[in-house]
Amino acid sequence: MSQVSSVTVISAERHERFFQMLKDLWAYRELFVSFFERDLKVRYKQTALGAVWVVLQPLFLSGAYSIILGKLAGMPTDGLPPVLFYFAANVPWTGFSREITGAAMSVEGNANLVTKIYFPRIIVPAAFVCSSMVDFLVGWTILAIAAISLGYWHWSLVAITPLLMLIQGAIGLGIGAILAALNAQYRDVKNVIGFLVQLMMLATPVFYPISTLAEKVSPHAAALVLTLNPMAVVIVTYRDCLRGLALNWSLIGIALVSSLLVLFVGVWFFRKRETHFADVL
Amino acid sequence: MNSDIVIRVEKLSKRYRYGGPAGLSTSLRSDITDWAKGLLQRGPKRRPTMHEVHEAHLDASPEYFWALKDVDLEARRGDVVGIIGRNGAGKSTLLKILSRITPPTSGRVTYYGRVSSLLEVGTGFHRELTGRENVFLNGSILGMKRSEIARKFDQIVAFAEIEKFIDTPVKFYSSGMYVRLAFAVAAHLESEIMIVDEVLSVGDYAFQQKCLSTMQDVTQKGRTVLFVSHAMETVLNLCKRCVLLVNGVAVTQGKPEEVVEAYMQTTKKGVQIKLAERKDRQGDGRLRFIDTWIEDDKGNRVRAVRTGQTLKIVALYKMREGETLKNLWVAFAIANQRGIKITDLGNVYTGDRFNGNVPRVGRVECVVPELSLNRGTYSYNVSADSAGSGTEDWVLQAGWFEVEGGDFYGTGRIPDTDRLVFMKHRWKLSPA
Repeated sequence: MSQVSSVTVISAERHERFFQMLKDLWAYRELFVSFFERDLKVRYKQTALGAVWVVLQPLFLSGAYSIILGKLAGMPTDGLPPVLFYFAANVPWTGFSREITGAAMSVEGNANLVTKIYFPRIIVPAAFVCSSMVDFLVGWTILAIAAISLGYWHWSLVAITPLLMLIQGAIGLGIGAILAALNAQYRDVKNVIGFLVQLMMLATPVFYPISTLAEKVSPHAAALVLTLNPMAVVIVTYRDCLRGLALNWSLIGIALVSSLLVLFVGVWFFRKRETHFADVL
Repeated sequence: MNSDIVIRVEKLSKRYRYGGPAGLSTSLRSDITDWAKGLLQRGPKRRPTMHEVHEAHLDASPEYFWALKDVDLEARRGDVVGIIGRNGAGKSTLLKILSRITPPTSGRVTYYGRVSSLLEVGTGFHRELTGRENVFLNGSILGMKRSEIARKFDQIVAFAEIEKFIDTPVKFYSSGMYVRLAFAVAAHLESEIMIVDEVLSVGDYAFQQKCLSTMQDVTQKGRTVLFVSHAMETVLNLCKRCVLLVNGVAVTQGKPEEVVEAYMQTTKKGVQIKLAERKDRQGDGRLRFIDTWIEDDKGNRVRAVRTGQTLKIVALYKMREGETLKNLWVAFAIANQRGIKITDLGNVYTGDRFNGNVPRVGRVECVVPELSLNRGTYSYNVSADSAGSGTEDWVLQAGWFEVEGGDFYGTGRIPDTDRLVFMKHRWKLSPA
């Protein structure tokens, strides 16, 4: 007799249901792993330096910032050595900008898959963001080595990093998913991404300390940046760890909640539009 | 037995907009309002949203059309169901909905069992990755569990015959190796239900045969296959049941022979400029062709015939008042879609003379037994000559017909579609 292992229903309403989305995602969890592996392996194939690139970019940037901002503009660095101060920001920030850009381009980049076979499309940007996290960890290791050798190591850095990575990944995927869904239909988005990431960088204390923003502009501006921009909290927290300060848990809590909210909105928006990807790509 | 139904398609419809989907401004706004309203109301009591009300008006709009309309279909365990139809009949749309690439506008599909779809082989293959890595990637894209791929890995590699190169990036593979590996993965799918595009069986001849025989194996294991096809011979060979789509509607379902027959019939209602009204003709005009068409061997007017069957080209002519002709040479010159002249059919060649007093209004027919043309669209010129006075009437591309694939050799084996003609031939091998 018929032994039915699973029942699949296809209808217009399928995508309206939230639990259906979770079920679909669970059913395709192994594909997520495969995409994750692919993104990781492909990135440094046929590059001579491989994963060294992950470290080189933030390292050079930090050196450049130290010279230009530190020596020329006299930007204070919260009592940290300038290179360490900038490196602590550049490692998460280059990671974050890579996540957003990569996630935003991922649907278009996988158009040959999207038009030929079904899977929950969010897997594509999600796997990309997660594989970028591996790059981030490589950079983080260099940061840790630098902190140890310069005498700024605190164990709290290890404890807080997973939480900060979660915030960074959630907001990266949330915004990336929205951009990816829009880019599937409107290639204009491609031109906006670089500009958008640069703007976001200005609103994030990458090359200035948040304390300087509070002093020179206003304490409100600094508070506003920290409440509205989870990436600002991520960077400030890394620096606080290196300085051995007590962490601001309420800010971290706000950043966590708001980044998860961005993730939720991004994924839901993506889910609503993914049905048409095959028709518009 | 109701429980044996594994695929049920109910009132499946898909509406498209000419020139692509509607702009973001409308859909984004309605998405947001939908979402906000959806927060407040859930379940069947939910009032129709602005978006849904808007949808209801789309039917009246000339901007939208139904690519599929109310398609019903059922397949039982072990069935091989073929879906046929002309280009633009909705086959691809149906295939996309069945494989969940695009959602239906309304209606539903229910699968009872694990389902996988194959629209191409090697989906997701990455040039930079090795054969081994691609087997795992492609396998999980097709819906296989990683443990399942690991278990079948040796079989897959053996099937593809590329053991030595399995750890080489596929960008260094020859195209043959690439396709073999891709197909090997697909051939090891163990889903109960398979949605397959016939495009799969494109490739070299040996590969086509391998695909087809694998499909046959698959169905013998009690699996159900939905097969979208453009080739009549494959449908007749493989399918137990067949569905004919015409303009998005499933007009006929049943035995493949009957449905294929119906398919041939639908082609007779084509658009044609009346031959009698054509001005672009040459000749003295004492005689004029007024109509021409194609018939099958039973005398039905058709637009398409199958390779290996009888093709009958018929032309009606009328003579000008008061004229007589002592003899008549009629020719139909056949060319393919690319304008390559295939052959001339003429009573001058066969020696069938139309002598004496030719009737004033007449019907000329030319019968080609065992049509040896390959699949494609063909046009033909008509011409009439009378001895002594030259061309009476000559019309280029006076008619056209289509040739559908058929089993010309009676063996089920057919050369590639880019070959123009078939020839009956025999082989012999003897010691020498």
